[in-house]
Amino acid sequence: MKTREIIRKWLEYLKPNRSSAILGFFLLLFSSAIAIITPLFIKGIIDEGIMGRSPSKLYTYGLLFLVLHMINFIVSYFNSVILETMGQNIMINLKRDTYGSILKKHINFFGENPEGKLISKVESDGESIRQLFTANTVSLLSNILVLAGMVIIMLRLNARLFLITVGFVLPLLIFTMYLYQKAAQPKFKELRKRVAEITAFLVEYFRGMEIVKVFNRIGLVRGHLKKLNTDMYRTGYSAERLNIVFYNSITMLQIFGFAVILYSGGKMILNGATSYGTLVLFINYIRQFFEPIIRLSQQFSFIEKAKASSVRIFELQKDEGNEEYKGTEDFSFENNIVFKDVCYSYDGKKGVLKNVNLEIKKGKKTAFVGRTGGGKTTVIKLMLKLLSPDSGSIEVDGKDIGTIRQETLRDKIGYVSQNIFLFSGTLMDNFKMFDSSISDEEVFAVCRKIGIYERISSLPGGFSTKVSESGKNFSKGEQQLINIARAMIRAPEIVIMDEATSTINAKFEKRIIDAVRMMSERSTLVSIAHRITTINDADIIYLIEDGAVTASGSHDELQKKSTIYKRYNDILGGFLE
Amino acid sequence: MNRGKKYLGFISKQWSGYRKNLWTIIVLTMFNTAFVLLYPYILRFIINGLESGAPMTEIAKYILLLIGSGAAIAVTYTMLQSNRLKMNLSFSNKIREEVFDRFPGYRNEFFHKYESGDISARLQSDLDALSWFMSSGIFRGLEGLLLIIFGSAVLLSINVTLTLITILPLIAIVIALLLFTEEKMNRKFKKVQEFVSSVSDFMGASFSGIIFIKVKNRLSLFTRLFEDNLKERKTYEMDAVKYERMVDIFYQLGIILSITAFLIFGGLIAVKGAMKLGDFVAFSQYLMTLIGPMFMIGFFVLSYARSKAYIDRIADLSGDEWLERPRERKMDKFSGQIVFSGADIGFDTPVLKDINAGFKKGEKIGIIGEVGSGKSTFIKTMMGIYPPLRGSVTIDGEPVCGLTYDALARLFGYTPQENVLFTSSIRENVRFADHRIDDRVVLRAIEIAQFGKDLSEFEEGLTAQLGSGGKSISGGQMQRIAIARTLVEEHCIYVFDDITSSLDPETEFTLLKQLSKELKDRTVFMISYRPYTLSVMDRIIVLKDGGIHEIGTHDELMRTSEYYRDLLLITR
Repeated sequence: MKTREIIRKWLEYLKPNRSSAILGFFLLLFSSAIAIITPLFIKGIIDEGIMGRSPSKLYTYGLLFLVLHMINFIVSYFNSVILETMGQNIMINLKRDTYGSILKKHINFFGENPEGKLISKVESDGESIRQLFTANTVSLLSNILVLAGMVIIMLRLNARLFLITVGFVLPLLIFTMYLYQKAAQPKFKELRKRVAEITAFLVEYFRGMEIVKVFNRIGLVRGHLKKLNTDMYRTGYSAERLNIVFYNSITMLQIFGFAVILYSGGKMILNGATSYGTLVLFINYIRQFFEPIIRLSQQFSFIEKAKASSVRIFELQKDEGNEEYKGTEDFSFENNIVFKDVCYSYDGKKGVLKNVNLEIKKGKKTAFVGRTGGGKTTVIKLMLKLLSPDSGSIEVDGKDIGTIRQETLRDKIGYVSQNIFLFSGTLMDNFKMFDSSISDEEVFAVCRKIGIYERISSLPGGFSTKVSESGKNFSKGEQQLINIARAMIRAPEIVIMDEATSTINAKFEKRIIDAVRMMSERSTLVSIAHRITTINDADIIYLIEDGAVTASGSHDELQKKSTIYKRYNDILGGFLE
Repeated sequence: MNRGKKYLGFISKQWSGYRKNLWTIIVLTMFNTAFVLLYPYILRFIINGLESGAPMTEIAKYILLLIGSGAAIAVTYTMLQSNRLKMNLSFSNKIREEVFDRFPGYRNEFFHKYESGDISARLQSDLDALSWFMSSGIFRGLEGLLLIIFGSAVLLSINVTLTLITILPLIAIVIALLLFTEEKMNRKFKKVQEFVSSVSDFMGASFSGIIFIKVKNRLSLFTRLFEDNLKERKTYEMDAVKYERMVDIFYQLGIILSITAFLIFGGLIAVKGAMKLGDFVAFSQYLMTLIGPMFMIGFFVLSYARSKAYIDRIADLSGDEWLERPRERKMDKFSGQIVFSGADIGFDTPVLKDINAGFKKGEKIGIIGEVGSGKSTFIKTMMGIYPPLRGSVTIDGEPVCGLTYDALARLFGYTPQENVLFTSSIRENVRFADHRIDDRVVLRAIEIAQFGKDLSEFEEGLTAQLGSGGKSISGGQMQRIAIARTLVEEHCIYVFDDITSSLDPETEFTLLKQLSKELKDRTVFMISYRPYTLSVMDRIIVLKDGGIHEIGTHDELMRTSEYYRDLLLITR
């Protein structure tokens, strides 16, 4: 991404806030001017007040000093509020856009990018861009202004003294900073890594303590922590130590600067070439001189960082890799959904589905069986338009699925997935998936029908029970029940259950499935399961092996014509041996 | 008073092994104070010398002295800070190890009470802050105190009135502001922190649960919710920033007032000739030098208050009330006779009551029951993880919960229902029991656990990394690795908690075939809903209504028990 393009994007976000930016800049000019001129009052006090023996000058300069500072306090307070608000507003827009773009990505994108990485893109990269829009740009500008102002005043008061001092001090300062920056960056990066390692260790072994006990591996864990601690100590010490040495070198340099000023300035005083006030002003300026230079060097690295972050974020905001929303027609389903020679591959090499042909009839129960990894779930994802076929076609009542708007399709399908995910929030939030247009009554009705209403109402928090850390406070069986209810809200026309009931006993499962089928007239059910009772009453069963349909028919037909199915059936039924 | 003693006791206990370091830090602090206070004094000599027209050679000497004092400040302060840093890090490591070391000896209540995030917060950021206080915090306080005492003394020696006018009010303002505002400021920033986490959690949840958002068409709803979250966070951030700015301005105001007072009154005194110019300049330098220490002292007071809370939070994790009853009975030979007699078992309230049962060596036992019927609790009690609430559970006549973990580890091989693996390679996860086990054994266990085909799909083979930073694998794969982990060592009794629910029938069949060959004369307990898995067991325990409902073979139960048939929903 080109720098010009990045800047164009920055300006786009800045645009709605341009009046704040302009106002902020002028207020900043004012503050910088005050920072530059106040040491002049001290010079005035020394030269005109003390040396000139004039108490009235003392009062004038003293009070001016006070009043200007007080005004500056008010100005800089409002300025920081203005700029902070601006930064926040820009951040909200930027993060919202980025988050929205991520949600639009194709489903495979989420498999390739772990959650933590995506959060850090929105959060850390967002924050490093924010630095650019608030604090850092502001202090960068003000540092440059203050520095320039000080240089001008020192040059005007005593150019020789300035050049001598700066000539001695500045090269040393820059050299020290260079050494520090070079050494510090990798060290602190390593330190962050060490901290993350210890966090991961604590979380993981705390959760896994039961296994540690049962395997009696306490010694191993102890050794592991000791090693992590030792690494942490070494890295932490050498990183922090760098800071210590750096800041003490700066102190040393500062005092060295004073010495230079006193020596050459002292000689000038003796020659009458300069005043005491100027000497003290130089000492005060040199005190102040270091700060902006050190900060400037840090800020340039902030800008570099913001640039790198911007590249990551703006790339992400592009439409590449998005789920395609091409279809325009509303979904309607009267007869069947047909897969015709459908092929699909995740990586373009290894075929997951190879020429799959199958039919899902309205009002019927269709089941898929077969080995894990055989492609059953992929069929479902294709039906939901989460994936699109590499070749072949999927037709709904003879219409290509590609022409159908996925919103209308997904609205009519209740998908109960194999992997369950509960959102933090209440149980009610999870049932409604945060959609406030769904009433509590609708949720209650669904829960009653599938027989979990009583169970949930009897919880201490009832339907408002909080769901913690991805559902940890519910057993796997309970999570599956919640997952089913969630899919059934607003009675879908088609229900897909992908190993949705594996940890629920067969009797209860049967009741749930009956309830699900009762909920809408002529409802269509698609079911994947490794349990005979879940599939044996299906109108049609497809045996899917290694990405292909190897047999199909009703339970009885398959028992006769497919040896694999018969064998599955025997194992599943426990009728073997 | 008593409570104060507790905290001081905690701190002095930490220092007790580090006498030498303690004295090094104290001595360095004193030297540093001396040098820091020396240099404005030299400055005073230089300017007074200039004013009185001393020769430049004379003044140059003082300037050399000034450079010398600068070097001395830099050197002593580097040493001082390094020593303080060393202690910060040592304390943090020492306490972390001490506390974590206690965890394996704790009862399960402890692991239910605290969440992992909380533990890592207490043993990292809290502990780091506490350790910082115990070394850097305390000695920064001392540094500040020494500087103010001796610095004020020097100032008093220059001019008493001026000192009283400029320094005292400033000290009062700084300390008062710190005490009155820090707490509130902290609260505000904590609130911001909470919101930052909640925004991250929200994102994390929506990326993990993306498939639900897509199939439920909640894309724009979630984007709107996210924006609302950000807006709410903004109000808290703005609140914190405004407060911080305001407080900062009051500090600045205090300092500016003090400097103005100094300029006017100091100037008047100097005009009268009661103070030389060098004194005036030196005084201004001291004034600047003492501003830092005032903050140091105020900050010391505050961080002590905060550290007390940290000490409490860490002490919570090392309380003796969490300790298990001692497990002292060693055993290395077992005949494997398990007896439950009159046992009430459960986590804190009994789930199963008055259990009486016995199991002989080599038996294969299936366990079935509804969600929440106590299946996992039953096996965990048998394995000595939970003590029985009443009655006893023994092996070869010894109560299991009194056996050492070493003995238990030899006795039981266990695969839990939840998939617990650790960040490491596949190899290290499989040979978790003993890292000296060689690859032949590891690979064999993997084959039996039906993970062999999966393994061949990892380019790095056994060295493939799992967990954070490594490849993420499916739940089913994790479970099969956990089964392999159980099989690398020989045990007397094997316990498998619902390991076949996510397997396809062919894999289930092969796995059980292999297991029954492999574990022929071992005792096996297997929780399951799968008819085939249960059919290969010798006896099946049916748990219902807080007790053992029935025991029998699969065929017997199929014939006689309607409840059992119902659970499996098989009609014959």
